Amino acid sequence: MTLVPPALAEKVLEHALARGGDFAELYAEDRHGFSVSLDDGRVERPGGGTERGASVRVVAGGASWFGHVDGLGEDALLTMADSVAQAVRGEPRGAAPLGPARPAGTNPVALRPETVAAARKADLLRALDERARSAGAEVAEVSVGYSEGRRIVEIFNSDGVAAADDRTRTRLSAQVVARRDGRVETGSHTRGGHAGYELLESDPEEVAASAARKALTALDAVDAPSGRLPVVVGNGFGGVLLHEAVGHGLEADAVQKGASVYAGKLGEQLAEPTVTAYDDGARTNEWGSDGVDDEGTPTRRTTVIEDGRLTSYLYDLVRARADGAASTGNGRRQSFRHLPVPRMTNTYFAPGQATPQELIEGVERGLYAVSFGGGQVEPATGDFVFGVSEGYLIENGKVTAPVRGATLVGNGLEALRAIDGIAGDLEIATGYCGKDGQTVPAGVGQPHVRIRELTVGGTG
Amino acid sequence: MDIEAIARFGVEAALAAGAGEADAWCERSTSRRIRVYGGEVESLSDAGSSGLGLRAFIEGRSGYAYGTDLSDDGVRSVAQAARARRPWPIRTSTRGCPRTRA
Repeated sequence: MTLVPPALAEKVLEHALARGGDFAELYAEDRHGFSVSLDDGRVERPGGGTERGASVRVVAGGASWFGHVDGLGEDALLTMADSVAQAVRGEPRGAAPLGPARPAGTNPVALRPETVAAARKADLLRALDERARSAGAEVAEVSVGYSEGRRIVEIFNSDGVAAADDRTRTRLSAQVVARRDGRVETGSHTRGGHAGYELLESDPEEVAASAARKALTALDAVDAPSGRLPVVVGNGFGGVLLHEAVGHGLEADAVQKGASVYAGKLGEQLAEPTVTAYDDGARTNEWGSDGVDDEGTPTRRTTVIEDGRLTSYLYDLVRARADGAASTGNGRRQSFRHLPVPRMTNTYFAPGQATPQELIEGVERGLYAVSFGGGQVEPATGDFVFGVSEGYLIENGKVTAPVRGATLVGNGLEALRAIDGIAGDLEIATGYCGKDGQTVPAGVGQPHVRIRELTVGGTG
Repeated sequence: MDIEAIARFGVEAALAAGAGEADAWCERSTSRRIRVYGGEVESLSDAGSSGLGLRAFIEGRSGYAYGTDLSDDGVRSVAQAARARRPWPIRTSTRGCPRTRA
């Protein structure tokens, strides 16, 4: 499917640069989505829709001029380009010739979700509901959700870039509430990917079982300890800590504004030589992956920390120009209605040599933080507070009682320095990341990681 | 663009597609957003958006669809999608159009 013929794209860019500018871009998008949930056995909000539109951006000096419009008709696109050009003051300039935009095709889809019958999706949700309820009599409420989406995007710019991407994402989620004697606990779990329905063909009920297990386990939770303690952070969703406390500080817009504690630290040793971390938007079929980013730059694996040393920030085109660097393929946007900004894709620590068991056995008394709930980070200082949504005591090298109400209080730089063990069990979970009023899918992950010491705010 | 007429047409199209009841939400918006950093304009965004959301109800079940193509064909397509989403094999929680209390 072609959204905008290259000849029209050239014309739009010429109009956009009619009053000057260093760079112009046309971003066109066609998106379809569908979602449905089952709450306590009843279908809620089966719905979806279609959006088609485009945006034009002109960059002049340090300023970006931007407009968007619904529809992809020639008149609408040219009117929008003229409108954006009105804001620019300078001499007209031309754009490089454009070829056809061909989809990157790096995230294959085996079974297109929109071809799967509604009855099959309904059966799937019902099976999840039943699996969660069969986990125990204390399961009080179950909510399961399914969503699918397809975005076809084309990006053309005045430097001659003509790129396209065909993105399909599928996601299944479950949330379970368990009750006992007035005590209420919740557990949730998700499975998703930049992939089709095939993602859900192997034991999808495990998503519900896992959510139920978390909720039921939490009913037995004891008060969390407090003080300076060793912390083993779980794989998968445990990577939220890396994403929030480190990753956002590596996004070049924050760095260039001096709003990141990592500004000016390129090349510095921030962690033990055993610590390496990546942002990788090119991991096949991963939740945060794309073929190209939303500026047409091919995604790639960027090593942000190598052997403990800070090696790269995460760039879009505008911030890369300002630093005389190349884009790392991290220019992302929620839709054609948004300006691209530097965003993480899939961010994770490289697997190490240890096993999770070895990391836990090395702790006499500490906390096993499997997953996190809400949290706050101050990017300028790196200070963070995170609530632990699933946590356990570690006593004499063994995981013992579940704990409730634990919080981790610390600083991203200090936590990096204190990593003294990394396991080999890398797992990436499906998250949604919000920034500048935009939400994009982001993979958060890591293997099990041990932090020598962190402040644990407990309830005991 | 008369958004009330589009919304009315959306309801009619849903009924014509087989819905027992339907409601529509049509919106047109314009926005301008200017971001200043260090005393200079960092970005200026000028935008127009429009869209239609339709709920179709039939036999105690509902379906929802939305779209940004507000041509007659585009609205019909949204109506048919909302109607097509209705036949879920499990009952939905919404039994019909919300009523306004007298």
